[in-house]
Amino acid sequence: MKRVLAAVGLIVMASAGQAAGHLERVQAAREMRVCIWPDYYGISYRNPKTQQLEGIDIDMARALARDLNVAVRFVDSSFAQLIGDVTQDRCDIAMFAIGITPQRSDKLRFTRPHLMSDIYAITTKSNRRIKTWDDIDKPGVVVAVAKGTLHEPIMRDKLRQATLMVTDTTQGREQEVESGRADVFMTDFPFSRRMLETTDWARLVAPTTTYHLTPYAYAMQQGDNPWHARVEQFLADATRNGQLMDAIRRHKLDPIAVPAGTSKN
Amino acid sequence: MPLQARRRRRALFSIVTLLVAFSACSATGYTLWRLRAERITHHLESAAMSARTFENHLTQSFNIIDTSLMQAASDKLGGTGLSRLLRHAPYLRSISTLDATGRIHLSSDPRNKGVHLTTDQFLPPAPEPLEILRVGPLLSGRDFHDGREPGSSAPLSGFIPVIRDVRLSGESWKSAAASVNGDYFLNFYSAHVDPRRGTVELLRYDGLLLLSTDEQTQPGRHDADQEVLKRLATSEIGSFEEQRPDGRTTLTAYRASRAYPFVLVVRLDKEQMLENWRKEATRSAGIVAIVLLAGLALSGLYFARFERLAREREADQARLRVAAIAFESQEGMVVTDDAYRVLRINKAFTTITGFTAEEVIGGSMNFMKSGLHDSTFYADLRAQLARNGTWAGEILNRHKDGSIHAHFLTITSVCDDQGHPTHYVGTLTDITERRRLEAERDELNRDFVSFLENTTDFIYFKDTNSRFRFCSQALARITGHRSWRDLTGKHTLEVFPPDTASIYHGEEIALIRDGTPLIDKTDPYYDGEGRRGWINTSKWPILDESGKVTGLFGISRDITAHRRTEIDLRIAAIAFESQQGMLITDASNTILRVNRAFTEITGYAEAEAVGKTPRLLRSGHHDSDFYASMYASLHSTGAWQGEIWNRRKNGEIYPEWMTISTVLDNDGNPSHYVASLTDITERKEAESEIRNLAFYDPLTQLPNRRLLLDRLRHTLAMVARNKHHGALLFIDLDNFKTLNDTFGHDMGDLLLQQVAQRLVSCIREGDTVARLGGDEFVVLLDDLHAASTEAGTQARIVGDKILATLNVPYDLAGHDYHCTPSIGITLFADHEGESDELMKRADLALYGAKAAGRNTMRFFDPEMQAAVSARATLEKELRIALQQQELRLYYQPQVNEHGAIIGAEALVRWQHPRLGLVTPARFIPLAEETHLIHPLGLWVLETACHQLRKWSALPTRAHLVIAVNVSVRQFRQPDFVEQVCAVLDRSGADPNKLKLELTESLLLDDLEDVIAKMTALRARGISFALDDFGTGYSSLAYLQRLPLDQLKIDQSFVRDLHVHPNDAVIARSIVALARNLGLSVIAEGVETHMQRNLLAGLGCPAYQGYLFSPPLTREAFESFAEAWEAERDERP
Repeated sequence: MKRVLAAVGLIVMASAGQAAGHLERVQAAREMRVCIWPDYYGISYRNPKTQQLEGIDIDMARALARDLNVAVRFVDSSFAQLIGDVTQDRCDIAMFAIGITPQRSDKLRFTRPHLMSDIYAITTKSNRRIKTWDDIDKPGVVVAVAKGTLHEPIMRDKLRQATLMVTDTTQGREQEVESGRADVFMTDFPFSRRMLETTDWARLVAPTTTYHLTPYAYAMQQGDNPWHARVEQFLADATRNGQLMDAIRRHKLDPIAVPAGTSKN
Repeated sequence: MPLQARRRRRALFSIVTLLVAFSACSATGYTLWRLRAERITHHLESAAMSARTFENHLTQSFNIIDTSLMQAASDKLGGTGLSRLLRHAPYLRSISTLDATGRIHLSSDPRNKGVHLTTDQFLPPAPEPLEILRVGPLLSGRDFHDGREPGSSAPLSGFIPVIRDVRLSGESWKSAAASVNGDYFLNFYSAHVDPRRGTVELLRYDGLLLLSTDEQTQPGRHDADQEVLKRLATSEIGSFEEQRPDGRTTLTAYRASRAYPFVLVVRLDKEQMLENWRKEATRSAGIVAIVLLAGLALSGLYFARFERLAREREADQARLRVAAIAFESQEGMVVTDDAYRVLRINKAFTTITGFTAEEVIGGSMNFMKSGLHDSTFYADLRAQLARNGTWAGEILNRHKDGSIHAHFLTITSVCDDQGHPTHYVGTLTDITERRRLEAERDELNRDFVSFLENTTDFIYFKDTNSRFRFCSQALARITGHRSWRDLTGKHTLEVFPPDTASIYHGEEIALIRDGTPLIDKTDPYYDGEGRRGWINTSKWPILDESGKVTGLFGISRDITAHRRTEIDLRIAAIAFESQQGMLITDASNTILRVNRAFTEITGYAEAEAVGKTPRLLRSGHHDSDFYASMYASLHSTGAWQGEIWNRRKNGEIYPEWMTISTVLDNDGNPSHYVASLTDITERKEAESEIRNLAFYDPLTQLPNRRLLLDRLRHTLAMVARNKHHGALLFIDLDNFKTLNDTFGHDMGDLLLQQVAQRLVSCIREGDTVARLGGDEFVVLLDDLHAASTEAGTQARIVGDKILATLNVPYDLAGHDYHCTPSIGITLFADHEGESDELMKRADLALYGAKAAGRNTMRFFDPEMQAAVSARATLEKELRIALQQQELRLYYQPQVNEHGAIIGAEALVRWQHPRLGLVTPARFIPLAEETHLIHPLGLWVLETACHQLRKWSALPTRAHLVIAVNVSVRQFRQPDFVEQVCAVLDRSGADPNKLKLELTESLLLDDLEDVIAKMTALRARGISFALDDFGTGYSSLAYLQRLPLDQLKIDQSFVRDLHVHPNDAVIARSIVALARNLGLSVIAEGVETHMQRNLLAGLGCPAYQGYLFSPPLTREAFESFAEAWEAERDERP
């Protein structure tokens, strides 16, 4: 805990040190560093067979770079490393559909959200315990979440009877479920899509009503207003000229697109 | 024959069709069956392939598990090392190592630590450690730490425990165990075999069910797959069709693992597998069926067409046969070649034309030419035949017998293939009869149309919908149509006004429905002017040959006038049979009809009266004037009514009220008389009864006071007019009250009735006897003498008669009763008081009579009483005088112009013992009133005749004629002539010397009677003189007719002859008249010589008067005559 607090303190100082100038730095370096999570299917996914990046936020990052007339450089990150990567300035902006949570908002500055996803559960086809969403929070059920994801605090808070299993990696939660040691793992809409498309054992369990909506946006360091404004302007333009919606549709994410005009930070 | 052929054809067609269909079905069925078998084979192979794939996957997975277990057992990996083994092994939950006791002392899941593993259920069994992988039964739970035997139902999660002993160095063994994640394999199997189409089971080699994709099955069963186990004994790989305990059939493939004790069983649901085949089979069968049906339909159509062609062929053959028969039909037929040479004819041709086959075959057709058609006709015929191939028309042909017949000829050319005519066929019908019938029909039509247009009846023909076909013009006119043709097609309901149209339409509906005629129905209708009237209607249905109604026709006739007459007649008939007697005669008065009331009134039955005249009823009560006035009234006013007396059949005469009306014919002449008569007998009787009660005394039937007063008033008026006298006599029975009291009122009434009868007998007709009441009677006399004295005498005479009559004893119911009356009399003349006053006077006079001692009469007027009494005395004395010979006859001489005595007038004188000589003027009128004149006159005549008899013996007296005065009353006696003749006979006097002097008043009586009596007496020789001539009313006509001998100039003319020139003129006229009539004249009252000379100067030749002598007794006359003769003899 002390280490975490110390890290936070460092981040704050680092941020303060390089307070102004992401925009100038990007334009000066003619390069924009974008943090991504390369396992985020549909958002920022690196196809293991081709090693090519694909996803809505890859498209948006490239568009932003184009808008800034600079090159883009993707920096691998993850939800577990997000805050550190941004505050320690390993990238100028994190663009991988980052759920806006209170913990993150304390540390990061978010652009206006462009996606909003509920929480979904993935189980195996042959699992007989879990038929519906309501079967999840029952005694004997083991629920897996990946450490550092937004689902970890939410499920810790919400589960009453089921056992929560926190895996270090996102792959871990899938292995636990596939091997039967856990019954379900919690994820969002884009990742659930990936499971259904890439495995033949996964089965989606959707909440019967809205369970917990989380808006997704891009994160950047706090305090760099010109940068933030520039990115916001880009997003506004992209929203207005349909670029954003085209990207969302291209990656079949329209079920979780934030309707235009409703998001305002 | 054709029918059989057709049946055969149909049977053949049916068999072929059935065969084709059967073959197609068989082929399709076979194909589908083959396909099904192939499918089954295919899916069995598919199941085997799946089993092989799953076995491969399973064996490889367990190879890794085996390897992992060997590594876990061999190496000291620790907990994290074990976990690392799991990283890419999703088919493992955990991996553990066991200690020597069989407990888990190290595990990837720390919760497993210390769990003891029991391996006696594992396969293959190994009492000793064995370096192979052994498999336990499925345990429920997530891992060893919560693993347990599965319950009765499929566990929510489970795992398969496996163990592996590994020989370490030497004899030491180490065991590692793993919990195998069954879900991993189930996910794999489900991904490859859709659980809905089939199941995949993982059995342990000993048959224990470990996993199944069918969630319903319960792992841990041993008995599940007996069939597989049986087959497994012979072969580790196999496939077969399996009948499942739940009834399903599966295509089952099994395969045992190459290295581990597992058997994989794949079962595909046969039905599911065949689902596609079934769909395909259905589709194929459907296509085949459609194709088959289409084929059948096509062949059916083809067969139908074939059939039709066959039929047509048969029909052609039949036609040919028919043609052969037709050739011998009723129509004449002739066949020629192209040059019109006859080849053949039929029998009918011979019948029609008269020509036989032998006569015409081979010859030209000209033999029938009539010569009535010109050459162009035949040219046109041939031209048309050449152009059209046929010709039809009427032609006049000549029969073999020479007569011309109209034929309908049809010529048809028969051509060869090039279209050139080879033959001609002619068909011939004799239409002479048809022509005649057509002409007849045309005429009939024309006449019928004419009839429709001219008849006044409503004639109409309609169809079954009540629409007009045609009708008479009269009907068109009243329905407002110009022509009857305009009505054609119109409906009854649109032609007539709604109220009558519905009646007619209703009749027609019923008639068309029932087919029965409607006869003589009376319906209302409206004429052309909209007046309502009546028609008599009859309608009949029109039937076709089958008896079906095809329409109707009807006749309606306007019977409005007839019906009105009928109604009038009915009313008249009812009226005729009224309570009044009715009688109808024709113009000639012959009775045509009488009613019942007539028969009841008159007694004549209708049969008795009809044919007679109403004279039948005449009573004879009415004179001819009555009937004349009746007919006059009928002629002038057309009617008569009044009372008439008629006679009933039983002779009874009765009054009736009759009204007669004249019925005029169209020319205004009487055609009939209608009389109504009412018997008013009862009315008359009632009237009479009423009058009786009002005016008559019921007891005596005499007029009562009321009628008396009424008549008295009449009499008073009459008396005043005629200057006569009347008299009222009050009569009262003396002591009547005593009678009533003694014998009772019945006796009194009887007496009163007898008194009444006697009173009536005492008076003249025209006089009145009345009863005032009680015993008081009144007699009213009118038409008494103008002189009051004479009138009084007349009244007294009546009173005397009453007194005498009532004094006769009465027979009252056998009792002799004597009764006397008292009578009071009053006379009245002009203005002598009113009725009441007269009654009072008469009553007072009656009291006078009572006071005078009863049984007498008294006059109201004392002078009258005195005068009457005096005259009564005189009468009595005169009567005595006649008996006592107190009368004397005096003679006054009559002298001619020569002074000679030619006769004497006999004059009576009464030598009264007390009064002396009484002149005739005093007693002759009295004698006349009291009828004493008869004995007096007779006495005078007898005395005069006796004197003549005496004188006839004396020569000096024999010539003397005695004139005797005869009073009117005397002369009126019916036996006057006989009396005179008797006197003459008795006396023996010469009738020629007897002259009777009559007065002119006699001529006022029955002149004929007078003439007859005079003529009779003149026949005896008696002569007549007319006395007092010139004072009376004698007319020249009378004088001419009377058989007179002498006129006697009255002394009134003679007396003043020299004073009044008029008297002289009269005297002269009388003399001239007498001369003209051939009568003699004598003047009386001649007292002076001057008178005598004047008379002589006037031509009067005889004189009587005091100049010569007064009347003298017989002795004195004889003396005078002797002296006068002597004296005359002395005169020159």
